[in-house]
Amino acid sequence: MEGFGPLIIEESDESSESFLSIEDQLAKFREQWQSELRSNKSGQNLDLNICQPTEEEEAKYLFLQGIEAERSHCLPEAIKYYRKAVQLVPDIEFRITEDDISRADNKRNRLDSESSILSDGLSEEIENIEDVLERLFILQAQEGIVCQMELSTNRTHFSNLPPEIIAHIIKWVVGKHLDVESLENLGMVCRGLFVSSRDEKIWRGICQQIWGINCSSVKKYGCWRNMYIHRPHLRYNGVYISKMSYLRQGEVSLDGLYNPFHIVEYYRYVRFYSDGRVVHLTSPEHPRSVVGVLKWNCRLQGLQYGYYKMAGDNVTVILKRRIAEKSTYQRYKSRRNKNGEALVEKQKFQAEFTVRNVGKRAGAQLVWNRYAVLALNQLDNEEDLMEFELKPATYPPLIFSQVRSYTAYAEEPLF
Amino acid sequence: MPSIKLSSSDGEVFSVEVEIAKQSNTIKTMLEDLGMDEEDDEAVPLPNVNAAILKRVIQWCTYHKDDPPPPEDDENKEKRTDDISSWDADFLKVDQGTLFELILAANYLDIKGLLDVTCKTVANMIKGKSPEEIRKTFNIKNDFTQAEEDQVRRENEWCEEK
Repeated sequence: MEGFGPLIIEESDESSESFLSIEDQLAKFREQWQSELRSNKSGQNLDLNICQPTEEEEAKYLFLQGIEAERSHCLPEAIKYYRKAVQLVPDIEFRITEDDISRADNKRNRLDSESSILSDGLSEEIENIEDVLERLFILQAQEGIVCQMELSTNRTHFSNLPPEIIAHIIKWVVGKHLDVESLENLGMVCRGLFVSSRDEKIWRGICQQIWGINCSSVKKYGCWRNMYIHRPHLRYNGVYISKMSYLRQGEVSLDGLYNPFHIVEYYRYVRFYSDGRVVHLTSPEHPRSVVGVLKWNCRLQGLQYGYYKMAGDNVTVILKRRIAEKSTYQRYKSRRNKNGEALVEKQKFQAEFTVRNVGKRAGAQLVWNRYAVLALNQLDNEEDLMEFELKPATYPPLIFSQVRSYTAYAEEPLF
Repeated sequence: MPSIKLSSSDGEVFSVEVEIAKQSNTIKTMLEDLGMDEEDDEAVPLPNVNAAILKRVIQWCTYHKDDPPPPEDDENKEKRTDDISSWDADFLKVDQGTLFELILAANYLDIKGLLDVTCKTVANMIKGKSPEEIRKTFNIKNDFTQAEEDQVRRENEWCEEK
């Protein structure tokens, strides 16, 4: 897709005929949408039934499957379903009503349309967007202003700003930290701001900030916004956190009756920046006191910082310790030097994760694939690699938490 | 210091040092293209800016006259200061009407620094707010039909935290 801009210009250049056809399309879309709503309702009832299936319901379900198979001329399949249904409830044929059959049809239609959304490049969703967009684009072109006043005022108003300034403000709203949530909220304010918020240039800028030059798959997604929504990516408006705990044996009491253990809890924090930077911290401190101060240039002890790269839905992270810790490190180095032992010049940590979506939450989980430490041995000038064993208890997936303060203030414009 | 005269839309004339006035690319180009003489007594007409706003714009340009020019290459990006300076923050403690007029003036006069800081201020007023809060903040009318609003909400549902 070439973007909405050129598409719309062509449309508006034509006569009113094309406008009519869009009105028709809109009417069609409304009908479709309403029928979708209705079928959703009936679908929900069915879903509830499936939640607690009785024997009879299960038999009904099998029987309906049989009907469906028979309709699509898969007789052996159909007989298999009928037989199973009859085994459960012998007189199931007489208990099935017309109502059951039509409800099943409804549900199947809905499932079909859902699977088509999933399968063929989310085409239906895109169509819907274009319906609304086309109409609103035309309306906006006629009106020529971005928004209207609620209460009339003599003062200079938001609506006095020309579209190019609105676009400039939007670049600041989104910023390098990609505050897409604020962008989407702005698009829900009024028609004009909806059109401005769907500007392909903005969404292209967002995608290029994330994937750089690896953006050719935008064709597959239909438009830049869809690519952002559906292509796996990291999230920048918060921090990935996992909580670990282990047992540590305490001091055994004198009488030997007690054998105390301490449960030690600690957290792992990973914050990504859209420009490729990343910071990592393990700390016993509670997220409440950490997330607000976790920054690239913060002075938290034990902070590791570095860079990451994404390939598909895998992210590779290279981390180093903060230079602030050099003093203790240098002491360590000199001590080892006297003993004439191997020197550990510098350490690098390598971590690999897979980014997962959880339900509707995109990029909400990081699953460990690998964790290793690379140390340069100064004697033979070679890098020693040590892999950590990724036990589920000590390396659970990291879960994303949004931190509003990260995106509260504009820092740098998107481009 | 050579100076030039600027005339606002409502006829008030301001005398400004050339170096300060040249922060406006519009004025800079005008001076270079027209080869205006320092001796020239004729005021440069600015029909899109009224006296109250022009006074503020000159105030801003005077304070920022020694700022380094904005970096144009990507390498210097890191050095950019990202926070609004406290002087700018105080300067921008104005009502919305004035803020928008400053934006329009900065746009017309092509003063990048002033345009950025004013747009950034508006962006900060938008960020983190719900659509209804944005409408209230800027006195914007909700002109969606019910169906449109529902449709837009459904399309934007993906980004809501659940």
